[in-house]
Amino acid sequence: MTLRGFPDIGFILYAGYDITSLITSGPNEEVMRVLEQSDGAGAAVDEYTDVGMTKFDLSMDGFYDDTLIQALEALAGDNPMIYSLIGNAVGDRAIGVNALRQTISRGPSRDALTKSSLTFKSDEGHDVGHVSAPHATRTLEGPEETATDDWGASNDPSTDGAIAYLVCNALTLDSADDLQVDIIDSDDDITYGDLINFTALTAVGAQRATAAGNVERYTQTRWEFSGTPGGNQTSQFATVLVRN
Amino acid sequence: MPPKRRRSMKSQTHTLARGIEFPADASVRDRIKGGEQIAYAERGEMTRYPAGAQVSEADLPAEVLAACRRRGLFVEEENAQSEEDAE
Repeated sequence: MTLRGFPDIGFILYAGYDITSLITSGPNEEVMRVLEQSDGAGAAVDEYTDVGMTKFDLSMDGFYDDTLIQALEALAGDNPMIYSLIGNAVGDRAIGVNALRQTISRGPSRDALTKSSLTFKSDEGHDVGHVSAPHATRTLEGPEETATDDWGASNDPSTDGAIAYLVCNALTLDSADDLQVDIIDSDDDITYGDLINFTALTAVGAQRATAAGNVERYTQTRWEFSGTPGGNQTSQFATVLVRN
Repeated sequence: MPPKRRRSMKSQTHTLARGIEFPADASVRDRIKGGEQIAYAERGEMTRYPAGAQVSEADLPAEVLAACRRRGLFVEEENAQSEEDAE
């Protein structure tokens, strides 16, 4: 048995923001089946029936950072969140959620820094996959690729498609047209084909994209500053890939 | 009896359904084929073709051509085959 601790958290990224260093507790995951009490008159004990729905909620506590929390407060609707609780390397287990921010609470207290609590609800369940591109600063013009993620021969290939998440929390184009990030796959680790092309980034942001059909055994994330970057281009992003 | 398929002498051209890429260096490809795991930084120059590009079979190493056929990465494979059969 391998026990994990808080320092093992690789990253927590949401909607174009890196909130890793803000969080002091969480993300706390809650997977919930919706049950309805179904006993009628005359029943002596409670009975429940599974309605058939699953819900996924997230909550986390952290510091109240003026800039970051207020940016999150301004968000509405669903935005991709990705986090890895066990590291920041290619192949590490990671979670992707299409998360709607629900509440942000602020709790000042004497003799303490002001704390904040955040809750999120997902409208797409939660997707368990791998870190494809570790959260890192990348300055090379590209095209460059991450290390290969070998999903194992026993999974070769998945025929049910893939879901990929991209969250970019820092981007300076320096005359480049945009930052293009793609997920590519291969069945022999030699010939890679494009699997998912994220929409080219011109600003920080987050995306969730899907692909149907085969997802091969080997996958990588590729990125490129398109056009003619001036040499001071920089980005900080991570991708998570889920093979269905 | 089905007609015998004749292979055209000229190199056939295909349209790529997806962008592809592979290590340009044959020795790198051979090492991977040999079971070696080679990091991206050691793979050297990559040959890339975007989706929709026209590629000639002669421009693709045998293992890449085989992978493209195996994975259905050519969009006009069936039509091209039909034309070849019709010759």
